[in-house]
Amino acid sequence: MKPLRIAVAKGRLEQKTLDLLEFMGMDCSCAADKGRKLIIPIDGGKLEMVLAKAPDIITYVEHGVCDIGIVGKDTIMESGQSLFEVMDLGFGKCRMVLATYKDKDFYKGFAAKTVATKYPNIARNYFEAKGMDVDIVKIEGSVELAPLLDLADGIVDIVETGSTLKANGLEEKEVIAHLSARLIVNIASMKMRKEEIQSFLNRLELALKGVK
Amino acid sequence: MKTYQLITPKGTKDILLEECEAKRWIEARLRQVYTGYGYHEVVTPGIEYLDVFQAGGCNTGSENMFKLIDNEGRILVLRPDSTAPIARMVSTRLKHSVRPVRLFYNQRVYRQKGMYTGKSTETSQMGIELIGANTSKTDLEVIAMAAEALESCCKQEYRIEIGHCGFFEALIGRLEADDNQKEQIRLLIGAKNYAALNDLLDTLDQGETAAALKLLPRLFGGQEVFEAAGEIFEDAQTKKILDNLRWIYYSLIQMGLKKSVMLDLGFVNDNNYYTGVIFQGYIQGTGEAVLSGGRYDQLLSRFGDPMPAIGFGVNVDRLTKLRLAQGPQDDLSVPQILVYGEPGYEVLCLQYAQTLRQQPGMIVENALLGSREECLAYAQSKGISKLHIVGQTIEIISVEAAGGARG
Repeated sequence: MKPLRIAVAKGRLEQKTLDLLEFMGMDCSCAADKGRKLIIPIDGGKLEMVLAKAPDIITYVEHGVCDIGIVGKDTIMESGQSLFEVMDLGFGKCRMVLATYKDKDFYKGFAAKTVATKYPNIARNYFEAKGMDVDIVKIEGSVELAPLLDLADGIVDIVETGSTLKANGLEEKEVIAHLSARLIVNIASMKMRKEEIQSFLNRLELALKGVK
Repeated sequence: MKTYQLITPKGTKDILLEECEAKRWIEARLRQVYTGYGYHEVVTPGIEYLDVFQAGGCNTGSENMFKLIDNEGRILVLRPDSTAPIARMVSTRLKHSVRPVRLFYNQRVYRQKGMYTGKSTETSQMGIELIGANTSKTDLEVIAMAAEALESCCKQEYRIEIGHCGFFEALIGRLEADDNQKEQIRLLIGAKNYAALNDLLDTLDQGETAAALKLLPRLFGGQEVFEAAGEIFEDAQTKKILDNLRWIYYSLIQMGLKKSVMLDLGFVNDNNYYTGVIFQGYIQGTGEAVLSGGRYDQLLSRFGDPMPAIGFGVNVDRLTKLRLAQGPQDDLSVPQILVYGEPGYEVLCLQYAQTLRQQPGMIVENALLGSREECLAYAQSKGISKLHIVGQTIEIISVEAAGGARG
């Protein structure tokens, strides 16, 4: 039987996930000296951990080459389509917001608004639901620059503490969604390997309570 | 100017040689299963009027269809699915035929997919439609046949998962919530997003209906599902659905499918397309369902001839890929004999090849080259073992021993 394969977003969520797996009694020693390896055997190879960039987690899980994924809700909202989102892991908490200049009313006036964001689908869905036409500009790096350079009227971005916004004279105006790390499962894996996945989920749920 | 003459459109591909052999092999196996149950093949047009697929006539949204405009300004679409065209055909051309009607199809469907997702826009589907019968016996036959279809063309482990859209619909009908909230609940159950579902339901209702909706996405797996479901579906309407499903489930187990059949009562419907039992087929090694189907009793009434119907489609491309992944199975057939006519003996050579081909399974290729030396080199490079040279006499050369030995 192939080991269950779990894809984890590199960086912040990676360490949290390893803590959880350790708490579940799994041997994660291979992760400590992984070097440049991208696929890491956990618990003597009973589980395989794949380290990838967040949007790729969705791709790997949707195609079924990874059974499970741990990824932020923002990534699911932006590019997730057909997968099961079975658990809110509670860590990596932050929020997706609409922000603009501190004393500016984003909605004022009739001119079409321009919004800069790393998350064009989330921004589009949000304004579509309001029945508003906005021009969306995709930015890869610091989105806060766009209104400062007068490219955009506002931004849609992730905020954790709000200090970057504040330092640049911007302010959170509306919360679009509350975000945290989620556990996703491939649809076919959920059906083909139900027992293994369910038992993993049960142990994880217990570990989550323990870690908290 | 940039041109595109060397590439196929996004999401499409050429299917050649070994892949094509594998695909035809899958199709032949499915055809054998379908015709064995008394199904007849139909072919519908590659383009249809958009109207055929609108207003619940298709579970593909119109934004994902390829559109054309005809010379009278009407909107045409490349067929996004075969069920609605067959329903149209049965309600018109086969209106007075004996029921039930058993039909199968083997054709490609077209759906727009996101950029760079690795998903095809053109997919080969081979499926059946059984129109004019709505008993449990009908559902059982079709699901058993779906299992047989997968069994016939894949060695890997597979699962047939059955459910019914009536559970969700009964519960959501009883919940006091606005349409927007109901849609949210539908999406959350479909995504098995337990946490968000619980949060949303907690704000709406504290009663039995909300509790049942919370449980619904967890009701999948083996026969234990029936125990849990028995506790929440106690009213006459849902109890009847549950009893029906239980009968189908245990009948399939009696047929020896215990390892392969499972349940998911948390199935929710897109576009209200399905009206009763629904089922999906999964195979080890594929990330998505390779077979999907269900009962759609409302569709035919859209074409003026209300009639119950059930059907399923198999994703032939997925099965082809699985077969290819197991290594070479369908060797491309190499001709056994290459025939070459000396100058002046061209007609005799063609006739000679025709007589050779009368042996069953014999493949004989006519050499189109200018000399016997060229023919010999060609036969060697293509792995053809015999070269027959037609002149005054017929000379047979074994190609493996091309250096010498004649005759």
